[in-house]
Amino acid sequence: MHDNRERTTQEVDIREPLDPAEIAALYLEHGGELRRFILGVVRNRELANDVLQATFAKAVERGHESRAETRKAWLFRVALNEALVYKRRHQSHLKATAHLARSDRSADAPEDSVVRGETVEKVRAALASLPPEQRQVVCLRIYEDKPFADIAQQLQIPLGTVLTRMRLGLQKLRARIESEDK
Amino acid sequence: MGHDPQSDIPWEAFRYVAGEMDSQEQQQFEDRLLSDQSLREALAHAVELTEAVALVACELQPLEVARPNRRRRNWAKVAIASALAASVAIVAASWFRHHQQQPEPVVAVHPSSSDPAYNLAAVAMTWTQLRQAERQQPADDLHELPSLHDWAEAELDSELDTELDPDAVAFETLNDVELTVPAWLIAAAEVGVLPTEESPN
Repeated sequence: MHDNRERTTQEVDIREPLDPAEIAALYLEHGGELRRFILGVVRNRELANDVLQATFAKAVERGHESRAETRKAWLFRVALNEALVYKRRHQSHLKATAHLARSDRSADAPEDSVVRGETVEKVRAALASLPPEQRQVVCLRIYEDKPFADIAQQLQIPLGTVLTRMRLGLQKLRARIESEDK
Repeated sequence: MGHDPQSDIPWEAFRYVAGEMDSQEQQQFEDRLLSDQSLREALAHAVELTEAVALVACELQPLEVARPNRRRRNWAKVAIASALAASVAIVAASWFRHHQQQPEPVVAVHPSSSDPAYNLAAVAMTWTQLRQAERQQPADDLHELPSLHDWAEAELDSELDTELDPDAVAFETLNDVELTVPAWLIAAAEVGVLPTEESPN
């Protein structure tokens, strides 16, 4: 018991709660990425916003308990825990609203957008540079939201080929975007 | 065999985001998320990539999707040409009847409209007259009805607009998106307490 208390005081950076400027800086630095991460887990924009709020509420309350150098990972962990709780609580609703790809992006308020303008520009260029057969599969899967099996049937090619094209297409998109970031 | 599990992370993240995992795989993925920051970041990235592709993919439809437009355009041309030919035939027939009946009432035998020679002659004559009338018409009148060329031009223009100005509004909006600290967060940070369940906006 005594050992535990000692370890706690050594490991935890005991400070005053984070001040508003620190919280704001955390939000500006990681808010966008966190929202995308949360959206990936809960697959519902409204819930993602709720979880993001809950995450930063925790940061206000207990963010100072984390070390500055691992604070990003701490935020993600908190976000994941919150997201999983929300996800379980709203399971039936989430099933009804289906998955991410079908959600209405056009209805997004600008501040709720999870895609940065520069990313759209890069993806547009990267997509245009893909071999047509890969671009076709990427578009059918993501834009038209068709399951891989349906794509295979439509294009009359084996499912494995569809998956390979998708995987290669995504790899190239990612590589192209990352190379432009550097 | 030289397989690098790290290289599968983005693919796994995509499959998770796209709902391509069964419940067991999904559970395993979420368990790994609890301790793997690179997997969390890969997930955030997969979401962004997926969303961005969904936003721009409509501009780059594959050929299979584009073909029906061409076919439709060809069918439109055929339909318009057929309608024009039919109109010319009708106009020619009435014109012929009118002119044959009025000045020459004595002529008892009229060529039958079912006579192919009669129809061909009528069409040829009417076509010539229409062409002459068209040449004499003022330029403004010529544009009252769209010609085949206009239809083609209109379609080309709209396609051009789509290419040159894709998602103009949406893109502008996205470019304008600067992450700003929401008021609820500032308030919460100043007070240092957990905010109530208000909308984050």
